[in-house]
Amino acid sequence: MENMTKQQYITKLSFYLRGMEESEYEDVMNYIQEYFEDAGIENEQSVMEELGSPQKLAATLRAEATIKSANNKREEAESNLQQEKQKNSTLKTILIIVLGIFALPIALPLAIAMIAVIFALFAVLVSMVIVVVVMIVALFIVGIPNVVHSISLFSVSFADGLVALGASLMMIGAGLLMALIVVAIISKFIPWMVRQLTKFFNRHNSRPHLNKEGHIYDEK
Amino acid sequence: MKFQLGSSLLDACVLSILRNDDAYGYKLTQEVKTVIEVSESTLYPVLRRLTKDGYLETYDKQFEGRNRRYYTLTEQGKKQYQLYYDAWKEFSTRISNIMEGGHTNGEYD
Repeated sequence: MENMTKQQYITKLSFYLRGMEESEYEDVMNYIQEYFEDAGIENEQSVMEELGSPQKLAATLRAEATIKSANNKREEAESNLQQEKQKNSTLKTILIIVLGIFALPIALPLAIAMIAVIFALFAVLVSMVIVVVVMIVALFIVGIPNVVHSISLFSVSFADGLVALGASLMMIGAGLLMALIVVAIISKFIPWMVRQLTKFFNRHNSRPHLNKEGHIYDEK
Repeated sequence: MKFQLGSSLLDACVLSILRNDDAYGYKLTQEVKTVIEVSESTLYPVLRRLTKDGYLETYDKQFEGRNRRYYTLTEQGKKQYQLYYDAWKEFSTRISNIMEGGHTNGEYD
């Protein structure tokens, strides 16, 4: 650092401090100015040496100021946010309660209707199952005795007996077929449905699963 | 071998010096420098911070036709000094114990 006069030093310092907040700037400059004066003219050079270059000094002084004001701003922002959050959450809760009360005349019947629909669907499903089962049972109930009966018909008329036997065998066959289909549906379809349902309900949980090799993986 | 002075220790020293007497920037720095090595530029942020935190107050006095800003301890500053003092006693005792306890009795010298 080449030798400069106190005045040059202070001017340079002022330059490097530009942009600082007005009151801060004044305080700093006053302090430095006073410091020089108290040190006395004979100590000017040593003071400048100790203070370091105007640029470095400005950086040090700025850093302190920036940290302090940044901290203040952050604390202010945080406390503002907290206040806002508190205000918001109580307001929200009140609003939700009020809306809920207003919506009741509509929401309640709607909910009841939805439950009724689900119930009805379920009832339809059950009755469909019952119908199928009854059909199968009926086919067997009719078909099997008819075989016996058709054999006895043979003694009366061969043709009639044949027709009757054929018909009853057809009924038994149809019954068996339907039974097999139903069994197949039950053994495949219902597990699949159960799996879909569990997937649907566990959508938001990520549970660890075991894959084929027995490794644990997370379901996405 | 030089030990570094952390910022809280520096605060403590400044508060302590000002306990006895008010002082202006230059004089304060000189006094601190007799005890520990500090740079001139170190002290201004310290003074500013202590003032902002309410431990110091400033007032101006005329001297030889110009202004001199004096720093003085506030009530809060006095309490803070006491806290620092207690903390320092405890800390320095512990350090001393370690340093001295490191010596074994004469046998292994």
